[in-house]
Amino acid sequence: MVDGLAKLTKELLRGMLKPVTVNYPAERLPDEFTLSLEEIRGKHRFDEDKCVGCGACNVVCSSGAITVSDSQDQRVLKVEVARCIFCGRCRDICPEKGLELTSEFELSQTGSRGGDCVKVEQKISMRRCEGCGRPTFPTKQIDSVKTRVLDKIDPSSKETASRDLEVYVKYCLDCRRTRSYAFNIHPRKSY
Amino acid sequence: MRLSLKKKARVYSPWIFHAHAGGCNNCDIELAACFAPRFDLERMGVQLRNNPRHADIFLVTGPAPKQIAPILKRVYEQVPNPKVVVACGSCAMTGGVYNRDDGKPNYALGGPVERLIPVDVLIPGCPPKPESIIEGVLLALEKLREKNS
Amino acid sequence: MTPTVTSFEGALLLLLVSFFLGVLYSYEVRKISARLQYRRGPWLLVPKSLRKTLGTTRLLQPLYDILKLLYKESIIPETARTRLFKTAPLVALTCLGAAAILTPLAGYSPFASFELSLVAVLYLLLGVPLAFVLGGAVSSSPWGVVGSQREAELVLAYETPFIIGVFTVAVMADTLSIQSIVAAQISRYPYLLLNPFSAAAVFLAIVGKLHLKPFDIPEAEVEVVAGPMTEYSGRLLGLIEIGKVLLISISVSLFIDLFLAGGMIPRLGYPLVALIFILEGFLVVSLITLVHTLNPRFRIDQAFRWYLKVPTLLSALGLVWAYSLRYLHTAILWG
Repeated sequence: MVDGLAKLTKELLRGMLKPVTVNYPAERLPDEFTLSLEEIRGKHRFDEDKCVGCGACNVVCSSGAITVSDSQDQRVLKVEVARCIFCGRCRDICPEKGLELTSEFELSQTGSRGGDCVKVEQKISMRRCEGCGRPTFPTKQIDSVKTRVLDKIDPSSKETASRDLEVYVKYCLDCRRTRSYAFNIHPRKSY
Repeated sequence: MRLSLKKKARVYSPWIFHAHAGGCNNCDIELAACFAPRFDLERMGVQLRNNPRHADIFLVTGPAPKQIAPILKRVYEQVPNPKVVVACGSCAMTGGVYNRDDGKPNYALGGPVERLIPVDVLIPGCPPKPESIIEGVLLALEKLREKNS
Repeated sequence: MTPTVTSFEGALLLLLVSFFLGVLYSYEVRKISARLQYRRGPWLLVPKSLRKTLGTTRLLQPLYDILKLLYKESIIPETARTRLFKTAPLVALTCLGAAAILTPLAGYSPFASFELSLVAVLYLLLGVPLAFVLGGAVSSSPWGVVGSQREAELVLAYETPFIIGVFTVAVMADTLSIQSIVAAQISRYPYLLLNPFSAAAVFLAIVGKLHLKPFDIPEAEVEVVAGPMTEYSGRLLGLIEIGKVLLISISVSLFIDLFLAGGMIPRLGYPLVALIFILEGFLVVSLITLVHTLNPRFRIDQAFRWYLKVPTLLSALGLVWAYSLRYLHTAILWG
């Protein structure tokens, strides 16, 4: 019983002299006790150059926090941090690695509506259809898709593909359909 | 800025009541971690009470399903003035994952907390880290300082 | 045999000093129990970057709690009996205020020494459980009723060793006046050394009286929401907290007066006596906190049975010891 008491006294003294508390706003957690900063999922950040505005993040978002709204000249991607559950699916699916979840997690604010909370936005300029004038896709997305297709396509059909791409990238989907016979890009033209 | 004794006492000793409005419990676990030895909110004089009549800060976690909506309002009215409402976590702020993508209302949700009671401080996160909750409590103290009743 | 007050200002000053000491003791309970759990308690010195918003020190944290409660609105349930509900904390405060004036602190008492001051203090200290039981019962809440039942049972349990222990001291000093008991210890030896059994019994009873673990049964958070105090809020709760602060101060002062010679070591001047009294107070409170931190909560029937076993036997043993010392006419007691 005596060594039990001795052990207890030693533990108590250690607790009294060296508490494990971190004085939070004045000190932060030391690094070995927290997830490494790359692993903390915090506020979103769009990379201005890499994001092409494809909207894959909107499709895959678990809680509908990312919205895409198109106007005549630009597409706005908005992340509502208030609805986000920080799962990271948007970051994982982005084809250009243009969306990252930074390690900024101190996001509290005063306000009375959840909608008042912080939002992250990204604006991309849209290309207009030359046939009807409606917005089609973001210019950067078109360029990125063109590059990817031409990189991976079979070298024998590369020339025809690049020629066709130049033609129909100017039109929206409806105008392409109405003009497909005239442009000779109908899928059945090869047989 | 010199505070009067009344406001000083209110800022130096806030007592929190945790109202669990039907969530997944993650935010509650992070709130409990705030009172554990690693981050100790008792340093600031904060106590976690389980009686709404003893509380100043009314901290709500979870989206409020339809069954708990009248109860949440009733418990809110039992907190004596002056009081501050803190919505902790993305479910309490906007319904989070439980609000549908297409904008139509969820059949089970009684609304995010702001539809039931007036909210003062918002803490996003799913769940918010204990540091975020402590920051939110400090913001709530500032709000408490401004209330005059 | 009527008590005569030597100075009214002294009585008021004693009440304020008693309250202030109680605030410090309450802070010490919170700080030490936090430190034993590997965390900091309320800050003794706030870190520099937070001093503007959160103050310089939280040494008076219990006082801030009381002030905040006094400035809040008080909600009284509709079905409660309002007059009794509002009167219960006032009963507790009145009894405690009178008991605080009667207990000498570091040798000073505004009353001339009169027989039966010990009995008066013991009687007045029973006003606190009375107020708890009354307040809980009329608050029309099932938690209050259960809490007041448990409070009544706990009082029955801890009063037995407390009274036997305290009267053992009276037997050893052959008087019922607290100031004479202190004087008797000064000329001989403190009764902690002569009769440690009674000291232990009274110590354990004080742990129950202050509602600290393992005996915080009436206010157990997990079982009854706050026991008798469930429906109290705002000003009335603030009065109850003032009562708790005064209670810890009076209990510790009583313990030091009865067993540690009231801090008065002969041939020491007054400021040193006050310092020794306060240091002894902190020591007693730290022992109480040690018991409070290292124990879980008993159930009410376990507490009742335990109190009738260990502390009562200890106090009975102390009584037998005191009488045997007296009948042996040892030089220690009769010089």
